[in-house]
This record gives sequence, C-alpha cells and structure tokens, in this order.
Amino acid sequence: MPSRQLLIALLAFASAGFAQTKPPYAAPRTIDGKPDLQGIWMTRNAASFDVSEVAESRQIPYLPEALEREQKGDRVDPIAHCSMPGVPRITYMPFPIQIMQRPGYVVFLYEYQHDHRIVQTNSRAHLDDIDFYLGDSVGHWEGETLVIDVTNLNDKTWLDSARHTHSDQLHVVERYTRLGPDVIAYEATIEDPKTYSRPWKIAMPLHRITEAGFELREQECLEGDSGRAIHPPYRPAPKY
Amino acid sequence: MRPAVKFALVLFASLALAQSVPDLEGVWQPQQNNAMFSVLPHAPGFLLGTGSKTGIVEGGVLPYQPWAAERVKYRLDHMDMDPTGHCHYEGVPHAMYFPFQLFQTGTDIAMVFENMHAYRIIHMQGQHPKDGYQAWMGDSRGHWEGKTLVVDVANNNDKSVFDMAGHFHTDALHVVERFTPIDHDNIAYDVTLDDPKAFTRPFKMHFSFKRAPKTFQIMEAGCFEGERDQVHFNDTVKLSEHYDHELNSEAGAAKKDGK
Amino acid sequence: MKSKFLMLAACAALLTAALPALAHHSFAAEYDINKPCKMTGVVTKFDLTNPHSWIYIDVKDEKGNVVNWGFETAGPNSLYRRGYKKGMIMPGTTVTIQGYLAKDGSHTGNAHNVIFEDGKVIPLGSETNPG
Repeated sequence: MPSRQLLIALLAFASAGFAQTKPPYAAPRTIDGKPDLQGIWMTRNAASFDVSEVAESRQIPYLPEALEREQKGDRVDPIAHCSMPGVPRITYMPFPIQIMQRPGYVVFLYEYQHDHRIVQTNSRAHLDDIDFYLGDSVGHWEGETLVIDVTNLNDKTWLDSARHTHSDQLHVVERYTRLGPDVIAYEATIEDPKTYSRPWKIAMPLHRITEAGFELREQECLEGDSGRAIHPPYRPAPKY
Repeated sequence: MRPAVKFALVLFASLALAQSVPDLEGVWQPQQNNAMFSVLPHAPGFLLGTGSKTGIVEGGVLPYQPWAAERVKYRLDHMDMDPTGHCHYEGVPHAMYFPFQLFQTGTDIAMVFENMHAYRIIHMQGQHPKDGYQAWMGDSRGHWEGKTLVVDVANNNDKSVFDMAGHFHTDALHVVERFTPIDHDNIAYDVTLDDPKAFTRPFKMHFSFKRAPKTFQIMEAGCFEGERDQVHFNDTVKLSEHYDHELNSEAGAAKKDGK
Repeated sequence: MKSKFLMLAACAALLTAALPALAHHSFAAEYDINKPCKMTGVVTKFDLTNPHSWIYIDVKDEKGNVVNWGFETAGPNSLYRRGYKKGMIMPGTTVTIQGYLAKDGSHTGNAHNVIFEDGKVIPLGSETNPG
C-alpha cells in the first residue's frame, strides 16, 4: 500500500501535468516541408498612421540630429505621389496581402497599389549597388519562422503618415510566425545608424481574411492635379 | 493478376495522371517582336522603335470598325492619350510583352512582372465578378485543357491599350489566352480577342515565351517615383500623316487591294 | 576601368535583340526621330531612377553660354544588368551624347549612346531604341 507522502507526490505530479501549457502551434507544411503561410492576410491597427503604436515601449529612439533633419524636411507623404510605401510600412497598410509559397520562394502580393515582393528562401547574397523602395529581400527559415533580411532600401519612404523618416542606411529584419490557423505574428527589427540610437522592434498580428470567396482586386493609384494621389473605387460595399 | 500487382498499377496510373498538368514555373522572356510599339507590322523608327516585319496579329490586320479606325488615327495624333506614358497598367495581352516569373499552386497561378511592379493572379476556381468590377488587367480564370493552360480574361476596362500606336479597345473586350509548353524552355502563347463594340470580328495574336537565363531575376521597378517625361508630352507632330492607319481596318486593307 | 567599359560594350552587343524590361513610355509623344543630336558636355548629375535614368550635362552653346541638358536613358535595372554600377559616370566627366531631341523645345533628349573622351562607348538607351 503506497504511503501517504507518495500519494500526495503522485497527485501533485498528475495535476502539474494538466496545468502544463499546450505545445506551440505547428503550421501545416508545404510540399517542401516548410510552414505554410499561404492565404490572404491583413493587419488591424493604426500603425499606418503612426508606427509608434506598434513599437516596443511606443517610442522611436531617434538620434537628436536625425529628428532635427526630419523636422526640416519634406512635409508631403511620398505615397501622396503614388510612391511605393517601403518596408515595413507595406505590411501594415490597411489592405489585404496574399502570400503564395513554392519551394525556394515566398511571394507577397499586396493589394495596395499592386506592389509585390518575391522573396527567395535560399539565403542568396544581397544585390550589390542598387537600391529599391521595397528593398532587396533575402529569406530563410528558422523552425516555424520565416526570417526576411531587407537591405538596399532607399531613403525616399516614410514609416507611416505621421512623417517618421529614415536614411538609406535602413535595415529591416522581418519575422513571420504562424500562431494558429488564422493568425501570423509579424515582427520587424528596424535599425538605421544615421537615424536611430539603437535597433528597435515593432510587432503586430496579421489576421486571415476568412470571408468566403474573398479575392484581391486591382487597386490603382493615379496622380491627380497638384500631385495628389487618387485611388479609384475598386471594391463595392457589401449589400446588407 | 495478383491483387498487389493490380493495386500497384492503379496507383502508378493515378500518380501519372496527377503529374500530367505541366509545370510552367520559371522566369519567362517574351519573344514579342516589338509589340509594345505596335502589334502590327511597322517600319524601324516608327515611334522610335526598331520595327517589326510581322507584328503579332494573325493576318497583320486589326479588324476595327470604321469609327474605331478613325479613333486609332486620332489617338496616334494625340499621343498624350497613351496610358503607358502615364504609369498605367498595360492590361492583357500588353502586359505579357514583358518578362515575368510564374508561380503555380493548385488554386492560383501568379505572374509577377518587373514592369510596373504588376502581377496577375490567374484564379483556377471561381467565376468572373458580376458586380460591375472593371480592371486594367481584367479578371483571369484558368483551367487546363490537356497540356494547355487556358485563361479567360473578362472585366476589362476601356482604358488599357494593346500598344503605343493608338490601338485601343472598349470594355466589351474579352480575351482567351492559351499557354502551351513546346519544350522545357519555350511556351507558345496564343490569344483570341473579341470586342464587338470596336471590331468587326474576333482576331488572334501569337508569340512565345523563352525561359530566362538563371542570372535574370525579376527586380523592383517603380514608375511614378521617378517619372519626368509627362511634362514634355505634346502633339506637335501628327504621326498619322506618317503612318498608314488604313492597315488597322479590314475596310482599309480592302481599299488598298482595290476591292 | 578600361575592362569595365569593354565588358559593358560586350554585354550591350548581346542585348541588341529587343528585350524591353519596362513599358513606360510614349517615345513619340516626347521625342522627334527627325531631330537626331550629338552633344558634348560635362556631366553634372546622373540620376538612377525608374522608369528612366537621367544624365545631365553642361553644354556650351555657340555664344559660349553654358546650358544644362537632360538626357533620358534606360532605367537602373537595365543598366545594372549591363554591368553598370553607381559611380561609374561621375560628375565632371566630359562625354558626348547621341540621341534624339524633345519636340517641345526644352533642353531634353533621349540618349542612345554616351561616348567618352577616350572613344569608349556606353550604350545607355532603352534596348528597343533604333541605332
């Protein structure tokens, strides 16, 4: 017959087993064994207005001279001239994003202005001596996470419409981790030695659009008079 | 036959059938004979291009209705109307004159272009939207017929054009594309176009895609961001005086033959 | 430096078969094929931008006045594929540009070739421009 102490120990052990956290979510796999991030996703936050909403400690660690430069700089959002919004802003523009995956590639199709990023996941070298609005993206997998290293970014974009700027030294590392069937955790580490005193992070969920039959539509930008962007209507309001 | 052998044969056959959809993935370079200048045969120097002896239209004639042929001449004399100079999307098949990378899953095929940072999503399921949606690139629905990818393109707007030579269409345009692999490195591209508001009959275009060398990758290309040309566009030279627009209509072509 | 230009010339030879990467244009809306030009001047700026890069040169006219001309070339992606890198054409270099003038009388043209003082030629036009 077990002693009383042993019984208590066994009960304690059993209850500890029930209190354990569930194992982390493992996404379904693509044919080449990678976590499947495919689908249509969208953020739900105010980051496109002010990225400090989604920043760690809600602060952007500006160098004083960079803040001064910014305050004396352009006051018209480059996207008002139909410019591409840059990275990471393209992720939190309030428009759906379709992710497609094939062996060696993750393809981001953004509804916003039909922008796109083809990301190779074989850790190829960055391109030399050429810069882009959406940078040069090189990806690789770390367990459940897609890590994308973004360099070759030009200095012509803002991080949001609140005029948070950066230099051409901007370097962004993005991390996409599927947390469940309908959520991807998105994190970006932002560094720019000419603008910030240290690297800083933003984080937000990407939510799957679950509306049946939802598809990306063509969203266009036109340069109106006085260089004001016009986005013609393209998705009718639902009928109730 | 032993059951195990029968089973193996059935399994092999089903796998073989499942493999029969061709793999069209890769980066493709269109062999399009300067169609961006004009889809019809044209001389070197026309629109500052290097010319094309054959063009890409079957028969070398676009069967415009008489009012539309006049409209082509008007557009040629008012080049500012050409949307390609204003950073607009090319539409289909115009977008296909430029290199793209094709990605293929069971539900969607994506064609991702450097030009205009465009993409096309060919939906392999579902129907064309019926809510009045119109797009520069239209709406594409695909299915397989043997080894051929057949893409039906509807919901086209009336603003995209076929080339820089004034060759326009209306929003009645309906396009059917056929992508047929010839071998590992070549795809034949056949297009049937139908626009009863502007043309007298359907017509066809043809060219092919060649697999790009491994060193060629699709990069980002903006347009609005660095655009400096629009301010110089003007119509001081009437191009129609230098170009036989009568080739655009069958009536015009018949007139040339003295019929 | 010499070998870089030779490589560019070789790459350009391979590219004479038309392979347009970008469509933005209404060449004929802006430039006149009946107004070819050849101009020598000093580079003041070379902007690598899409859809077209722009090379600016200071040119002395007959009276000795300096006028700044802007010539449009192929976009940076096409130049990059031909081996061109940032900094290869520096301000202060004397070049001769062959191309076509704009119709509107502005100091603008469409460049097909850039020729250096030592005779080396860099084709900077869009691939589909005529020779």
